[in-house]
Amino acid sequence: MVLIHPLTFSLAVWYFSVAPFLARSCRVLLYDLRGHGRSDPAPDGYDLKTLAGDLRDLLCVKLGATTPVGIAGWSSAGSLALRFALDHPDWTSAVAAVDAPMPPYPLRERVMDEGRDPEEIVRQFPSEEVPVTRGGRRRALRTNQHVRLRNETTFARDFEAEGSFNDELPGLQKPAFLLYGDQSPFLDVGQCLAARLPRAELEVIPGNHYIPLSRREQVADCLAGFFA
Amino acid sequence: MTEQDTLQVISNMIREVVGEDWNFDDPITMDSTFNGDLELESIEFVALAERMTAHYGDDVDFAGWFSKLSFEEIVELTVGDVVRYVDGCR
Repeated sequence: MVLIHPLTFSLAVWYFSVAPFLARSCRVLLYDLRGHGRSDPAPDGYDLKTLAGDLRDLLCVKLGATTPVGIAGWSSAGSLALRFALDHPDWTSAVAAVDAPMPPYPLRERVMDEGRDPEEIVRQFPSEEVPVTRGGRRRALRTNQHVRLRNETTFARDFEAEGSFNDELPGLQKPAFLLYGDQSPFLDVGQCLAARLPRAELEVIPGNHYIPLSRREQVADCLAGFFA
Repeated sequence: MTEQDTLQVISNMIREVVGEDWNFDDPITMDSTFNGDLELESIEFVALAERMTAHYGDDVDFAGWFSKLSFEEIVELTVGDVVRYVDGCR
């Protein structure tokens, strides 16, 4: 099973939460998306299709996979997991989206529907690197990685431009598991996905958008049960 | 190997993982916390765990160990916790 981390995070978010429990019953693959964690920086390619292609190359070229694998992603990576299943069905046995915020419609439209300015959200992304000092090292390292993503790559532009792939969802013939928190602001997205995906199973558990952290063993049990 | 030997080995690995970003002047002790004292990024701890697994082999199972710790215990992990775990596996 592959666990994909959300954009702007790293594989560590799974490593310390759900992955240890899942590893009791199956092989778990974690990796850093391009430009994230310890992966090489990349100037472009932060759209979901390219990121899905990266995973396909990792599985097939670098790891020599010969059989389809289960693909799961949290938050924005849930959307990536669905994109991977659509683009690379031969390499997907089943797919899971944990509290995915999109599709069914683009982030820009959703933000505007909520009365917020999409440009303001991009402006809130840090734009200048900060010095790495004692007492602030971790925050500085995270901030500076976000700054580099914003200033030196097409990340912000690709993220904002990501379109809906609603029309493709009915064609996803793989089993799909949708796991959402009952207090998540994206629960409606899960319900829409469940209505559009022909082989979807929606499960709602207590918690908000951060259920992999707050309910790590339960999330692991849900994923293990689905992919079994 | 004694506990101090293991501490020395793991301390060296920590410095290697952080590399030129290392700005922790105090000695690494058993009580040093990864988060508060050493300020390791979580992805750096993952890299450290990989180095320790490569060094100590299958005797250590960090995934299995983390599944037994609460999230709060992971956040407050000390170098001594890791040293004692590694020595307990060998």
